[in-house]
Amino acid sequence: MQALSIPAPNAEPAAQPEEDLALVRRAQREDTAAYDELIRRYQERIYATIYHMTSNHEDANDLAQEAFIKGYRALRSFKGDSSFYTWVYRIAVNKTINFLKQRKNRVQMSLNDMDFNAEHDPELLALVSHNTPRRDLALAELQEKLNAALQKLSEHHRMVVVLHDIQGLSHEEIGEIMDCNVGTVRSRLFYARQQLQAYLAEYL
Amino acid sequence: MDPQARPTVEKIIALKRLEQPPPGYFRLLPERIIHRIEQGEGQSNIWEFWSAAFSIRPVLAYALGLTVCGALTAGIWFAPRMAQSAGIAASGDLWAVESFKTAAVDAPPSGERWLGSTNPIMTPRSGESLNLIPEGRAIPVSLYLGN
Repeated sequence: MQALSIPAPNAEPAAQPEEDLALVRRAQREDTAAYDELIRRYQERIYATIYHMTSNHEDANDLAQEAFIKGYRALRSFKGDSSFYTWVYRIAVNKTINFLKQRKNRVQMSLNDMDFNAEHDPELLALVSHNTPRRDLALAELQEKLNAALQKLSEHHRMVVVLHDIQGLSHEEIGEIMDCNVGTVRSRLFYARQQLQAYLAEYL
Repeated sequence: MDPQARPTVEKIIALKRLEQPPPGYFRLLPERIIHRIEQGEGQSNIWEFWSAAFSIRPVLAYALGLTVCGALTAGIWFAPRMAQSAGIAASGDLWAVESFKTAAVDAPPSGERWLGSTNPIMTPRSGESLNLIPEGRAIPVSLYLGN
């Protein structure tokens, strides 16, 4: 059986940390063109992290913008101890967790469309076809159930799943971003997967 | 389904990677952010600067809180001891304030008689209506009557 044709996570750490640092130094001197370049480098990962946490495109759009604006304003405090990549991730993660705590119990999903090719992927369809003969409906249903299951996790457990299983970050990077040790990351991931396994039992 | 090929929960979670924002979204996002930055959004005063620092590293907020509480506790603990060692509270009542004598600063020199008034004296000009007087004048008066 072939592997699912799901795209690999786009989470390789900043490919050119020296270039990032040079851009940061320019942005610290209020060069918005340099900051524009930094946004282009990391916008997809930041947006995706927030989107997978909120399951809502509009919220993710607002929070991603606010995270980058906050990052620009706080750039003076960036000393280069960590990479810009983990630093800006940390801003986005904290902003998202604060937002979710305020939004508690008011979950309103606004899901992005799945990649069109997914609907024609035989392996992906095999995953859902035993539930219903209407494959398109089954895929949409799986998407909704998956998002609902993620929303049942606590913010910290969900964040670990998003950063590791969706974004492909290492335990060490997640620990640095979430300000906790690797053991905590591992135990949160283990617990979160167990919870998800129970919520999604009908597909497993 | 072949048990070997059963999807794991990680594979199902990975389906989330297929969810994509509307086409062209990432082309416009940086422009929107830079526009908002150039409009001056997010500019912060000193309190907002600290709040931003705390939200990036919440441990800073806890550290500051602990430091302030520690300083407060230490202050309450050491203040009585320092006061005692300085001899201020020899009577045992730490908060007793030494009585002080007020000096009659404004008293006239002894043996002299003074009359004083600070009542305003209105000096209307003759021939004018009282209503037209623009303003009254307050003249502090002291009359020296001699010995």
